[in-house]
Amino acid sequence: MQIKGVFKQTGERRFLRTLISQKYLLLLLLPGIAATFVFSYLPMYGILIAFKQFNPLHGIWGSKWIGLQNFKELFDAVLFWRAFKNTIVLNLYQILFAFPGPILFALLLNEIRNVVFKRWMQTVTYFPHFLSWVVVGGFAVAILSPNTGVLATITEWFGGERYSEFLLTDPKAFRTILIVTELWKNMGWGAIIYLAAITGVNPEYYDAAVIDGAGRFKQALHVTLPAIMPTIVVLLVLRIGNMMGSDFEQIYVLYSPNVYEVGDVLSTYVFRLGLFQGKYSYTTAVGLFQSIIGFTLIVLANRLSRRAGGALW
Amino acid sequence: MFNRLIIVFMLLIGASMLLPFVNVIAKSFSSNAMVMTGQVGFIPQEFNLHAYREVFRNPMFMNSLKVTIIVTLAGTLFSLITVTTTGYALSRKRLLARRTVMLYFLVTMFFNAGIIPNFLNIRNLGLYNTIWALILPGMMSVYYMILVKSFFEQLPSELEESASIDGSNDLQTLAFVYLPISKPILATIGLFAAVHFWNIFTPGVMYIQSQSLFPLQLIVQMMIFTQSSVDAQTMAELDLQGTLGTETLKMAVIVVSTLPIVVVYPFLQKHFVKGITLGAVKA
Repeated sequence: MQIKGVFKQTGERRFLRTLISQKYLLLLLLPGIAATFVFSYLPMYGILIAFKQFNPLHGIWGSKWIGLQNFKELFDAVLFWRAFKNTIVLNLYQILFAFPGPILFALLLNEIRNVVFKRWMQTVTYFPHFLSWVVVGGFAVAILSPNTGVLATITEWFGGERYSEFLLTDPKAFRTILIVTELWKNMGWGAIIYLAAITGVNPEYYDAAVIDGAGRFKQALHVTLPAIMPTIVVLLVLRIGNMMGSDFEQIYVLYSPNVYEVGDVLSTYVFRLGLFQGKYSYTTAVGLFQSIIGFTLIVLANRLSRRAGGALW
Repeated sequence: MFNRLIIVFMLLIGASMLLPFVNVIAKSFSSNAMVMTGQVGFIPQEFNLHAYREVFRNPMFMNSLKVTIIVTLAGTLFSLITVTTTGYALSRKRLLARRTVMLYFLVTMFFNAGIIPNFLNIRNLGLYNTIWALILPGMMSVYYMILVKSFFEQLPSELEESASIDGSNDLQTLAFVYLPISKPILATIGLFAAVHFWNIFTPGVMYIQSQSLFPLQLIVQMMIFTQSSVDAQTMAELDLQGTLGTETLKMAVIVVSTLPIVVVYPFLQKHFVKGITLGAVKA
């Protein structure tokens, strides 16, 4: 110990001492750090194959380096651009129609005076969030099934024919179905965070608004909404950052070859070509493309959001 | 006026959440003939339990149920252990390199290596086509860890101080002082993790090849969506009794795979709203 004291500087010695005194604390960190390393950081090494011609026999290291050739193939692929277009379009639709859903729902929920009714509504609307997309897809099938689904029964009620097309395989309806199912599943749950923000609003603002003669509708519009705007902006920025790849399971469960032209997005495209057709290098290049664009989007969105008054960082 | 509008609107929304369930449940208890002619709305027609009998007799379904139960139990256990230990350590302000470690975890929330690199990673680790591929990757959730960390940070620091004065080391402090009073957050995270593992589907498609290891949701998907990524031979094996494709069977499958979540949900509700609002607003 004494020899160490002679050669080590104070900084290092303090580090070592803290290390030893906190040894159990650091031990506690081990499982989390190890798991994250093995399953989140280690795969990043595989990104290299985007620049290689991956041959499973040679492994990642031994495969031939081909630079940007995979990316050239990417830019030439018609199906890639279709997937890219679909990803952008679908996400824009989602942001336009599905993103505001929880916000409006939270605002409405906030207006309910009866606590019991409010709690019931919350219980009922939170539930679909806990179902898997497979099950939600099952519900969609139950409703939209030609001839047997509820949709068919309803159209019959209204005097029309029993609806006999399978809406789920209709490219014209697919986008709408995606948005409706998304709202059905997540609108209630998504409202939680807005509800939490709403409870943080200073009641004095409401009093001031009442004095100015504002009814409940105007109060919601001019007091509540601006107050939760920072929360909305943060979540919007995060949503934009997720644009490139967040929607996999929903679309994969619901889509079918008939709707590829509108429904095939980058994540499903990568999944099909990579896992089922084995084009590993190519799809990793697409994946890298997704990450870079996603990152750029979130940085841009955050920069713009600063002007709107609330940013992620 | 506004009030009444809201109530009506809310009731409509509530109805739209519940009615699909009612419809599916009704169909599952009806005779197939009635379902196929679209006569089943919200009440079972020609009540019978045939569909359920077929479900419980289907070997692939029952096997996937077993797989998913194992995955859920193991996954929840590992998840709780990992998340709680990490969350506790990070909640201690004196932790060495605390901010760096936080960054280490936060980065993974934004950067994902991609489907193929993850797939190759699992293969290289020798986990392909093993049950561990379903349990381990989802084990460490940074989101849950942050919730746990926030919870611990909110507890009075006197707890730790008095424990260390009594000569307790960090492990003992966590185990004997903090854990006993952490039941709310542990219950919340445990239930969330359980639901997550019960619902896993994509890892099943990506990492599992043997039918004996297919998770529940994968089998459900194969049974409901007639055009899926499954080859004809597997479909034939799945359809041993030749009952596949009957609507009532599909409905029964949905009900059975959703039942545990319905059962667990009230307990979930009790705990989570507090936990989520606290943690989420902080994050």
